[in-house]
Amino acid sequence: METFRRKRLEIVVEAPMLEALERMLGEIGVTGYTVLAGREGRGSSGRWIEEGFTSAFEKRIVIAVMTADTAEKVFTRLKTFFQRYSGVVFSSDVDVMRAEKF
Amino acid sequence: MGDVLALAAQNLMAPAILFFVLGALAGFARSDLTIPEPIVKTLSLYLLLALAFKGGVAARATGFTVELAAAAIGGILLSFFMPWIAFWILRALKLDKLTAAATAAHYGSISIVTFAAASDFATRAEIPAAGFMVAVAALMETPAIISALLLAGGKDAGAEATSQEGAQTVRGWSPELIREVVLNGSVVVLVGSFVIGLLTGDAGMRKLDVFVNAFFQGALCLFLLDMGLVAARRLAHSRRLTAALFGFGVGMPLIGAALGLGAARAIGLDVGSAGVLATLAASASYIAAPSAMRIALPEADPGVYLTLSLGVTFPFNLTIGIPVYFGVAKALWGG
Repeated sequence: METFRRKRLEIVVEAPMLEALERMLGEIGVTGYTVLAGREGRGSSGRWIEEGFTSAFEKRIVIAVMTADTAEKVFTRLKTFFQRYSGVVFSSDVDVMRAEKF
Repeated sequence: MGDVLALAAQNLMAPAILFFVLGALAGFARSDLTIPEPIVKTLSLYLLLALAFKGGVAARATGFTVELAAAAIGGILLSFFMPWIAFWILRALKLDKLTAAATAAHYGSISIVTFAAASDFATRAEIPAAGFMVAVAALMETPAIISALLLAGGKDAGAEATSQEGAQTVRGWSPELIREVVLNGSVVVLVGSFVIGLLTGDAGMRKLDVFVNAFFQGALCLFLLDMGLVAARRLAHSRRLTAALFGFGVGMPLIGAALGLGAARAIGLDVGSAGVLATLAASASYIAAPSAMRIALPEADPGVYLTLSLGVTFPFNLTIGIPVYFGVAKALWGG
């Protein structure tokens, strides 16, 4: 079966900044993504856990698949974004069946 | 003085407070006790709904009074100006500017759970407060956040790094920040339930009586159990809590309470409402303010502001502060 090479990005941000991230992805032209909630973990500022009474420190994980060009644009924008806001991004190569979807 | 001590002792024997202590002990002892996060969220919503609905029903009974308007204005002014005092003290303690501004926002804004505990205390001690105080509480959530942005130096300071490349990450009023501040879930439920209580009055209360009254204590106990756990874990993991900052976490509520009592006196509130206003002014936010600060001042250290508001000021107000504020109000008001 023919498949097509794309980039899969996983972007971890704090819940309050999810909206800004989604707006940025929209501006770049990322057409689809899935948002997951982080439960607990450890990062540069120590251990964190989803605490219930405030969403201020909850993490959201955005998973998106896109072309290498678009991924490059996302990385460029995120570079400045992460100068102020907490979070990480990483990418990997994936294969998709329907090129027009991504 | 004897009065204050009696109230304090009585407060410490309330189940809600003892559940908080239990949570804190479990947290310090590293027990595996946890309350699932969706349940904590639900409990928090429930407490807001019940409190505000009851406040709305009570406010309908008394109607719109000059006292209500004066208390609302007093609350807004307290929330707006207290951050300046907090900021000044924190800067004197050599805290960096942005963390000081973010912390100041927490101390100007209010803690609704502390308000819930104060209302509960007022009922137990038979010093009833006016129903509209819950509306005053809602109004006090936000002004301090504006003050913090002004204290941090407005739109430009420190934001050079992000001005290029169109990463819309601004110090000022970004859309996320406005949404977080105006449409913060807890504020929406609080204001909305107050209005529903106001609209439906006694007829509404007959329908919700069991839900908002009979279950309230139990929900408060369960929620405070979780808060005790969270506060203890915060304190145990805090890396930047110095003796001076700890002193601020205890001293600032006393300054706030004094200002609150002064404002209540000037407005001419009854003794119960004065105790509540003092408690609100003494309390520090850990719901609305942290989210707003993560957006507006991400450089500020949450290890300072959340640890102080949640780990120091909240337990202090809950165990010692509230009875002291009510006791002093009682002494001053000659009740």
